[in-house]
Amino acid sequence: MSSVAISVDKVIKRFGDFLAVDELSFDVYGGEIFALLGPNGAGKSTTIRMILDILRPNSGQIAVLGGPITEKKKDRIGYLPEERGLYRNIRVIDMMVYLGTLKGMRASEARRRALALLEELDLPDHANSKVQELSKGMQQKVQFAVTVLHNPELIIIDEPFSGLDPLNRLVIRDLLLKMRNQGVAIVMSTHQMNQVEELADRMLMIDKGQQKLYGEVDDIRAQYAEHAIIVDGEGDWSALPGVASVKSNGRAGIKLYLKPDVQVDDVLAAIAQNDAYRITRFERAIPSLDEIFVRVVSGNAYVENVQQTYEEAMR
Amino acid sequence: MTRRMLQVVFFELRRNLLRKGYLFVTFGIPAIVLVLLLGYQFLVANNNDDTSTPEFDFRGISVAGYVDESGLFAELPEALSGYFIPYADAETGKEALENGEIDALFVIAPDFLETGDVTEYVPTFDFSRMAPGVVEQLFYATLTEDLPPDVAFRLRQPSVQEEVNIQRGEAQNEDADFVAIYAFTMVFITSIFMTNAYLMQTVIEEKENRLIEILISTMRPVELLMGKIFALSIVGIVQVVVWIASMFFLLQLAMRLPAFALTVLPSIVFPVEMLPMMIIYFVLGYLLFAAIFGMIGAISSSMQEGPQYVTIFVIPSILPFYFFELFINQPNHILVQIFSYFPLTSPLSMIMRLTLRAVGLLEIILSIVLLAAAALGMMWLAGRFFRVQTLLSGNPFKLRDLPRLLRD
Repeated sequence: MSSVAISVDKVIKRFGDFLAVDELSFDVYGGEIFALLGPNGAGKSTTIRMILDILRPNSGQIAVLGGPITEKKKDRIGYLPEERGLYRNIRVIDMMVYLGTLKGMRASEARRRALALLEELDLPDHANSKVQELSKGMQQKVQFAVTVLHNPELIIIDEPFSGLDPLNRLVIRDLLLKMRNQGVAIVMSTHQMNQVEELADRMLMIDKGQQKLYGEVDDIRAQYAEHAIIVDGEGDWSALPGVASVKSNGRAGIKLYLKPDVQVDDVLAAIAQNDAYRITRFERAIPSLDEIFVRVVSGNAYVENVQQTYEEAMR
Repeated sequence: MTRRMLQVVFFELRRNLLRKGYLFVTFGIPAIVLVLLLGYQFLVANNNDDTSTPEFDFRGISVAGYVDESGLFAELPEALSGYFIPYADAETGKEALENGEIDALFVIAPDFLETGDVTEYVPTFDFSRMAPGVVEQLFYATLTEDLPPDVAFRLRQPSVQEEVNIQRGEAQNEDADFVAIYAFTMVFITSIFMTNAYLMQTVIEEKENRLIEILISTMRPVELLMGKIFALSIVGIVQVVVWIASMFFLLQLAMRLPAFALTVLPSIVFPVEMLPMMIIYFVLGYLLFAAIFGMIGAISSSMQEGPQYVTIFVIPSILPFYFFELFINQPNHILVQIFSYFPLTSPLSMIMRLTLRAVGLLEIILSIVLLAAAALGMMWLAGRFFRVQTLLSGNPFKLRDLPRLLRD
């Protein structure tokens, strides 16, 4: 793992009587994409604002890029908040150069880099357009370009893909992965769990200002995995050796709960050896982050209730 | 000044100096005044060859008929032949009116000298033909027909009067004073409010466009505010310098044009020696209102909301203008003194008094100290308002938030 880009240690933030962040601790490393998850009002934006020195914590320590944040360090950070916009009546290139110079770049350098980024984002003909002349998707891409214009070592992005069509989502995703591979630390706050599963190396899930889940995305998903497999195909699944019970998941396949001493490999071997079974799908029943999110935030009872309602509707 | 503040200054300077509205007001208005001056001169030069004869200029009436029952207008003055046709009686005149030979008929009553009674007949209802000055022209031309042209002209323009107000202790043309006060206060006050309105707009724009969070993650909010204030002070100073230079030039030009010889313009004394002092008041006044407008920008969540708060401060600040006669006639009046020291009204009051040169050094010093202190205090207050919680809040400002803003 690379050097620590952000270190948050027992941070508390109150707004009057409201406890927004409650003794939160986590680290973010260079060269990783770190997902910050949580329901609305969980304290994600407050945490980000404290990291960026927009807000001050009531207690606890925050170190950014090797120590307390300074005015000079702000030049090494790229930030794209959830509530974001651009100057509407100004040429794209002029605005990018201005925001680049605020981050310590020389105007000529900012111009050169802005033009290169616009080229990369398929917007080379819009450098001289006013922002108000661009589509929403184009504006989103310009916002992203502004965030990474000054080659930051730490990027914090709230909902990086909102307002983007699938094609542009891929463009931004590739850029993020490229920067991660170059050693940039990327903090991504989002509600789109599929993006976290696809992109993030590690994650922190918070609720009501408190840490709920923290660690590698794959590890967390594995922790929530059931002793079950999901299959699609033909055959009498309840009669398959090693299977304790069977549950239809509708279009999501058939879930086979395994007996405690049975391994997944054993079940696969049993299917392969018996001509009465045909499969088009076979996978471990690892829950999606969406399911884990709902389970963590709302509790298991809520999930089971929703599941039951769903099953009744499918019958 | 920090590097980031400097970048804000350059950016705001560039986009505000190039605003179409700013360019039009700063350069377009002096250009329009210049065109008007030259146009007026051209019109007068082409229409006023003989100053002894009044101009026959009644839009709806080219030829007027008249019936003289008073016996005062026995002969039509030569200067008016072609404009007037006498008729022996009203019936003949009306017939001519119906036939379209004349545009209106005036019947001058037998007791005209005592009563001034005249009856006008018109073919249809038409405002442009209702011209009470027509008979006055006839009367004037008849009376002055035998007089030398310069005497006739002086009868029409009896005097160019200069009033001396002994309270002020020097000879002044009060009309000229009025024009000067009007012009100078308009220049300074328009510029102060216009540039500060731009300042407020830029703050609200960054809040509305949701750029503010990106900006304040890069710099301290107070750096952003100070950068904007500094940039727009330059924008305002450029505007004032252009306007004052234009006023000086236009006044010099007007003094050389014959058309303005009899107007108030040549009597205006350009207060050159007072300009540095006026600029000091402008800068301090600008800073005071910049802090107020910046503060309002910080608490406003839309372009519609800001101007509503602004009026609370703008209306008192222009109050002295409604008392300009008091400033001219009684410069030591208690109200004038109060206006001169109260920081919201002192920029305008002192610019008015400096234009008239009716102010002592001690008063200037005290007024400047008070204004500077108020500007500094307001800057501090603006700094308290221009903070993260206010800038990032989407909620409308409430008075109950005030103690928290001042305390935190």
